[in-house]
Amino acid sequence: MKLAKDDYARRKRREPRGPARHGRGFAIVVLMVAATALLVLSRVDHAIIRGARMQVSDTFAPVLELVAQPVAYVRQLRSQLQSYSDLLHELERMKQENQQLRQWQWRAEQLEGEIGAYRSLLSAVGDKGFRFVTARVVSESRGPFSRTILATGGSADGIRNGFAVVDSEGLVGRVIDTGQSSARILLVTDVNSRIPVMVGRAGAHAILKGRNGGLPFLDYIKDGAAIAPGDAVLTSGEDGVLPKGLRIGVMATAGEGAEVRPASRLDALDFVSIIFYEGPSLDLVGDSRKESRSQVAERRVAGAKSGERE
Amino acid sequence: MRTVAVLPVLSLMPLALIAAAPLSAPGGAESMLPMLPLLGIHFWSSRRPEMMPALFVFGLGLLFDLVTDGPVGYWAMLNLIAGSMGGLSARLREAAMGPAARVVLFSATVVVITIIAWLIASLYMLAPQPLLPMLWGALFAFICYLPMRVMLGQIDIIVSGRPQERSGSA
Repeated sequence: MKLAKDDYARRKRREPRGPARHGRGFAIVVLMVAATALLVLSRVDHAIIRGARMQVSDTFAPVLELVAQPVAYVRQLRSQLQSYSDLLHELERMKQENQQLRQWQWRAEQLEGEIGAYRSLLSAVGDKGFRFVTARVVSESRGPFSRTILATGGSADGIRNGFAVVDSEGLVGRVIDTGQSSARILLVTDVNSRIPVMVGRAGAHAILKGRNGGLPFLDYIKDGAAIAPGDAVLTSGEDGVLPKGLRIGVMATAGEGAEVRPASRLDALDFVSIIFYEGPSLDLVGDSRKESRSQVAERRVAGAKSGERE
Repeated sequence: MRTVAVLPVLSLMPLALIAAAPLSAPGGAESMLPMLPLLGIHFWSSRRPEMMPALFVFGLGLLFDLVTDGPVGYWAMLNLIAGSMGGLSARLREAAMGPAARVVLFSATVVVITIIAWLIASLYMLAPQPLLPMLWGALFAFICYLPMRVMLGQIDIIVSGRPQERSGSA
């Protein structure tokens, strides 16, 4: 009697019975095996996975953009409310900052004049201005695996892998994958990020490394290099990919494993600018969807050899 | 097939979009939002397993992995675990076990998912990963359990076309 009642209740709820339930169980096992296989392919960075990533990102970027808009609005509203709450304190701070900036302005004008005079003496070529596009951040990756963001704007806008990405405060990261209408950006805090930098007034050279969680840190610092907390950290441009002199942040700690506090708020990015800087090594970055770095390098070596033969 | 039968699947879409949105999470708490679709999958797999196909659960996880640049198969695997644990919960319901048993099973689901998530992450990165962000995720899942149940329960009433059963209150 109890069984018949249960069976009736199950039928009423249209829940799967016997074979249907076994079928679901079998499907789950098969799909779990498929998920494991995909994890292995993802670990070896298979071309299929790389291609699928950008295709899916390209497809879903417009939808994510719609979601990102109210998120950006709420974030702006929150920061406005915060700034209203300590308006008086902010006013006092800005007065002091303005005073200091006036002194710096005077000093900068003086130095500008001096540099202009030296340049004319040396007949030096002036720096070129960079072209850039501004893109909206539509998604970000969380979790232990990576620190990347997805932004609107892709190869159709002239964006290429390796281009530097900045916001109003400083360097955010660089483009690692470009779709037709979206670009994946590797943040400076990602464990795979390696950026040659110069630190402080002496311009001590080092490599800035990310570690996913926490602040990025400096490695390969020359022994005896004068580095102190508060020193500015800028790109050195030695990689031939990023332009020289982009602000990254300031030293948070000095000594062994010195940490750098990025100037940009990397966890609250709404818009970023992608700089069209074509450094001498940009071609080595390649298009990850089509060929790996080693393939690009092989291609270049083969090209150089054929050039030698000619 | 009734039109309302797609409601469980549709109800997971906004949760997945919120999880992928660039919301600023406090430090170490970045594993929290991806728990939202997972909670939805667990709910529907325990209430309406026939409306929550395993292939959809897998596909949703896969899509999330691809869009968020995570290891492909990671959230697909965790979603499937949440779905199968939800299926267990459905059996408990059939066996007329009380709400307390289902709450215990939900807690076990969160613990199992947290452990497996940590294991996969550590194996994938070939180094033990910090456990704290994942514990934040687990805590978030516990906090969101009741509000999510209330919200999705309303959709379940529409799907079933009848008032909510008292026995299904946990």
